[in-house]
Amino acid sequence: MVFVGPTPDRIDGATSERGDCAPSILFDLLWVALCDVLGNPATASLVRRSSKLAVVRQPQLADLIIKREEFQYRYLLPKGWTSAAADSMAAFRALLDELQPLLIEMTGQVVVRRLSAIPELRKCGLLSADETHSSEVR
Amino acid sequence: MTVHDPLSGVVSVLVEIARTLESSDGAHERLVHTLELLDQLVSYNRCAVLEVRPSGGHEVIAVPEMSAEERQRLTKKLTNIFQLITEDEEPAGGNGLVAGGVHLGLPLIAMDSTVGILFVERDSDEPFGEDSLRLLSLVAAQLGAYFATLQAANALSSRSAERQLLLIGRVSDDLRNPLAAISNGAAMLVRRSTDSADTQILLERIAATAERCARIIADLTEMTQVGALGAVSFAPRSGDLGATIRALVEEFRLAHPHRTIDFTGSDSAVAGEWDPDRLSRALTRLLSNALRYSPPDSHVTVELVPTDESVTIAVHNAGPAIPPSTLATIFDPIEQRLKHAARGLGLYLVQQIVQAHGGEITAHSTDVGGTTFTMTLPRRLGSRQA
Repeated sequence: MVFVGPTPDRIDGATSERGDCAPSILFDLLWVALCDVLGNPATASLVRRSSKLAVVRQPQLADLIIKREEFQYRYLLPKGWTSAAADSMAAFRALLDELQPLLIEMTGQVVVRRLSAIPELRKCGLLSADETHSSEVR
Repeated sequence: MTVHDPLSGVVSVLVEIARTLESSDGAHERLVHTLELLDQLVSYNRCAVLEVRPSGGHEVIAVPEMSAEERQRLTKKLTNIFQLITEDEEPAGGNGLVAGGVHLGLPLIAMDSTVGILFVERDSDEPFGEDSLRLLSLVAAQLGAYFATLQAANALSSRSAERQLLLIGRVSDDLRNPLAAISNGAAMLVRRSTDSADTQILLERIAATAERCARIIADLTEMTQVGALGAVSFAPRSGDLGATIRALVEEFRLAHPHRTIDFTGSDSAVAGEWDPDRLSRALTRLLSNALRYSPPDSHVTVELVPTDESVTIAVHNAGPAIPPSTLATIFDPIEQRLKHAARGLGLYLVQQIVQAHGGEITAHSTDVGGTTFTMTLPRRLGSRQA
């Protein structure tokens, strides 16, 4: 398990070509985007929930730990997430698969649209514009 | 109405919301006013807060005023969202939301736990944007902090009550031994005394007063055990409650040969899960009171009525009616102490014992019918209230 927090270079999207699809980088981007629109507590709550739902299929997610330290949230990511290995990507995808319907149920398309605009997520085939319209909730 | 001067408008509304949540208004008024202020940040047709309490109960505060049907729909929607993000099982009827307009919902987080949902809804097709969601998240954070404060205050209050009970328990223990010495000493002097009648009366008064103080301390000690350590001291086990009651009635008959104590009820076993020691104490108090507060030539009756799920035990005496104002607070130890300085904590303790069994106790008293205390106890732990 490695400690990861959203570091400024990652927030700026300064990712290396090789590591573009590493879940650790994608998770940073996801976290920052969610916090921007939902706030940190709601982000932590929804990501934890998604992880709990997905861990049945992807045990690796048991190592995703989101902790509150005073007024900040920090997270620990599974060890393998620094590389875009197939099992790591599958775990990250499972997390997103659970997160997306929750976001749609709660906020319609607002957040999902925001996430689909993150180039790295689209480039890694994790979210597409088509996908965001597939389960429109009013 | 939507604020047109973005920054200053937003800040002033957020400040107003903070002031509202910190105000001395009632909890309901604070939340209603907060939701009304939210309309200035995120324009909506309906807005609601679902507050889920640690006990499991929940409350929905919604604005503006709406029909019962509309309110029910909104409540269902919010509870569905809450279940979706907190519970392992899907909400009844699936996790699809009930039809409505476009909406935004956010979890309310207090002490890192989800304690509710903040929700806004529009009738129009105009979707909410990211800015609306950001503003909503700021208010959700304020509400989360508000609920965290309430939880902390409740926890503090609860700990404070527990500490008071423990303190009473300690003081009771400290007082018990010196008081026993006074009591025993007075009793010994009464037996040996050859002094005047006045001295004899005085000694008897000292002995009686010491005995009464000892009873009060015993009550206090038991109250702290039931109140602060009830979960530990309550020891239910399978047994025959009928046998326990019949034995107790027989003891009372032997101890009070000049009184008539009737027992009505089945002679067969009344099986269930009980703490026989605690229930014996409760019945002892009820029977003692019944004998004390009824004419010597009247009957005291104990009635045992078992059903499949529960057991009812009624203790009746033909004494004068308890005044309605006293009856209304008869199980409240504070009220009883305030109204009747000499009255102990006995009925409060009886109620605590009954409640520890998941049951309830009622008191009924009239001039014509006398006074009846009725305990209803479920037979099984599983059918008892949490």
